Amino acid sequence: MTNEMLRDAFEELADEAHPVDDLAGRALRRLDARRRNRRVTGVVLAIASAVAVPWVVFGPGFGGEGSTPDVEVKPKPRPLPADTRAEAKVTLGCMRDGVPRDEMGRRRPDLGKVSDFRLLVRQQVGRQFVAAVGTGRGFVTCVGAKNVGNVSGPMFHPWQAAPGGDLWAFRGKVRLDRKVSESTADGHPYNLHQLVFGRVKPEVARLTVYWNRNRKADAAVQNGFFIARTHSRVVPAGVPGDNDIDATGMSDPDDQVTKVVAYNAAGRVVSTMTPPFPGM
Amino acid sequence: MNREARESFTAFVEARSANLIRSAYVLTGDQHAAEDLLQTVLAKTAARWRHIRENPEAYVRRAMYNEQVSRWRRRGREATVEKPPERAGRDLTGDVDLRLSLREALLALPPRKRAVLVLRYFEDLPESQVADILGCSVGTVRSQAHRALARLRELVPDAALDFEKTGS
Repeated sequence: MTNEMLRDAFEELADEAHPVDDLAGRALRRLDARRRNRRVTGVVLAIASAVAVPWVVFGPGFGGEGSTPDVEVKPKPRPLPADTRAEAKVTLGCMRDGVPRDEMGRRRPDLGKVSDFRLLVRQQVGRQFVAAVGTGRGFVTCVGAKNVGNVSGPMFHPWQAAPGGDLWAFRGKVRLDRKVSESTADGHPYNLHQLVFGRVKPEVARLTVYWNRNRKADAAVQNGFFIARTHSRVVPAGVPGDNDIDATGMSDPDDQVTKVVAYNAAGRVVSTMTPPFPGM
Repeated sequence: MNREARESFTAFVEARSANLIRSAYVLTGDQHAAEDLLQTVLAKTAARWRHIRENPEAYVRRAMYNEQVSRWRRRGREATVEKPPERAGRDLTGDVDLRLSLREALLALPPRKRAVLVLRYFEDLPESQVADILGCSVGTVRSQAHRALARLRELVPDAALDFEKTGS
């Protein structure tokens, strides 16, 4: 047995931990309660000394940490990070101010409200950005710029491999959810962003996606999600490498992900994936 | 805390909570204890947020390890396991059996020794940083790690415990 086995034993132990809902709220409430108790204790002591009472009885609930009245919070299923004001603006832009509709243009109330969506991950690409927004039900990938919320209409994809609603209950350290070609926000009709979006376990700090033709892209990793982008172009139909001729005689290029490598904060490789990728 | 500070604190916790609960769990070996440890430390973090917001992660980790060691001191030294952990029957693969034994042995280590191993092998930190976090010398970290590994060898004799040198 080596250091590696010890690391693995710790990792397995850590995998037993369950995510905690509203941890920040609980900590802030505990802090507030402790400060309130201090203030009350101070007032009681002041009164007590003023009237020269020889003893003061503190009832249960004064002082000690164990007595702080934490408010019981019902765990919300599939917690996602709350948006800041700036993030909410990005989310709204990505959703084009409305939840996705079906092929017939009908509303999809089952997908929830726009306000349910959160910015999951975002990567700046020059003056543009690529991002994913989502809810506990699914996600939408997005390409935008300063004055462009989302180049394409939002297309909703339900989460796969999320047993019991836990988005991070998948096996392994990395889950690839979507590889997609998106038009760019620079107005050039032939430019494309090739995006790979997915989820990562907490120990993943950095992730690199390798593509065919010797390309690689460092992903943005935020909130347990990642998005990686590489540049591509549509090519005239019929040239080698195309695989999907459309009505205009142009084709998406044959961009293939060849490898995905995830690293921990210390730079150690924690996962290497090669095709076929489950979920993609 | 004003509203802006609360928002930045909340954003930090939401971004890091999944990772922090894992560390807390490895330290305590129990979900409730891990949550309590983390809530206590985060409440302290929130109280000092104005001063540490530039690098809160380092503060939280230091506070978490020291809080856990302090709890252990307040409670008194835990009884360490004298016998190798019992096994729930031989597994066909043996490897699984060994991992279960190692898990039990890690949980049986006193918290300070466990903290040293967690920082070295789970967090992948060099000895100098471990010493900094635990507020002790590098020599103390080395001796604690050495004793912890020796204890693991006693508790899991089947494993060929051939650890690399703990120095870095």
